[in-house]
Amino acid sequence: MTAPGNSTVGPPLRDPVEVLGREDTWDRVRTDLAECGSVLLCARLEDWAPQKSDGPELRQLLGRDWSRYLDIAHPEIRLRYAASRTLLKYAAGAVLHGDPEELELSYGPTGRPYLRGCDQIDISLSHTENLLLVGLTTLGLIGVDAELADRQLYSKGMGRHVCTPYELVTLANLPESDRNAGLVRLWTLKEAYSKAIGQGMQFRFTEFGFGPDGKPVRVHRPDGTPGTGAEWAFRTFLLPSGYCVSAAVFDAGFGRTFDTRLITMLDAETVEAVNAELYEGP
Amino acid sequence: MDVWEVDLDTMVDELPVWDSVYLLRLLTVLEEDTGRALPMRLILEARTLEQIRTHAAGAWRTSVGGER
Repeated sequence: MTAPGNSTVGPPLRDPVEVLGREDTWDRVRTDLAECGSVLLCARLEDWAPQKSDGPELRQLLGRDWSRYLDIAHPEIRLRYAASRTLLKYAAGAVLHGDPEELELSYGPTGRPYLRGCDQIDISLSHTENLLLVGLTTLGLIGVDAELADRQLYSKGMGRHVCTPYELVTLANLPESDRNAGLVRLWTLKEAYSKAIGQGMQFRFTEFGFGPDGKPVRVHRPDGTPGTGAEWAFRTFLLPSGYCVSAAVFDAGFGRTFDTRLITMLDAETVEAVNAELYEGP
Repeated sequence: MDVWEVDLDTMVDELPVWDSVYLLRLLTVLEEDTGRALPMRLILEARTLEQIRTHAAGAWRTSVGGER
């Protein structure tokens, strides 16, 4: 997998910060966001499971997601739903210097989540098995995805639905023992990119691809020619816990947002212009 | 492996451990069984197992019809 720190394309992105619980310090999360413009957080499901599955605290925290949460029939899915959103709101609250319960999670037309009224930050969420994963960025867009690194994906027929012709050839050229790991890497990269652009699987995975591991990662066209430039960063991490984690970050090119606090979320230049108009007479 | 009994009206996102990998794996198996390429868009839009079954059955009927 691409080692942390060696990507030469796109904005920087460090390896995920493991968050042990609500009382964690969040210092590295704030530091990574301030220094890189983006941060990845990972956590264990059991560390973020609600203490009471139907208590007023959870209802307050989930806000408009509460009714959706109650509609989920299977206890395991309910648990993941609550834990992932709790982690997301606490992480966002930490970098926005706001109360997690005050943050409202909304969803776009394709289901892409965003924090209502907090345009200074973009979010992405993934969970699988025992892992919760959150991505935050002030640069533009972010998408994250995770799978168990040894999950069996490489099988007859699957590649046709997942890979471009170029990727199929690239995978076939790998030693047989490396092909499944290679496909898991491609899968998480594609999921992360699709989430970042808000398409999910509606953007067919055979219509875009990625190059082999060990080189700067870009989106490729089906024939293997580059499709994105330095505005996108793609990173893949192999966690000690056995998960393969990928992230896609888009730098919109509007510069960095260094002050992400909720109370100072107004654009400084806009405020200056309004003040100049209001208070500087002819 | 844990096994749950569900009915065809079950929403696919209510299935325990269900995710996009399983969706593609199901699509692959259905294509092998029916001998026809299934439109992924319809499978992605299916909300219930019954809707997936309907699309697969339609592909199977087309496949059988095509052999006559």
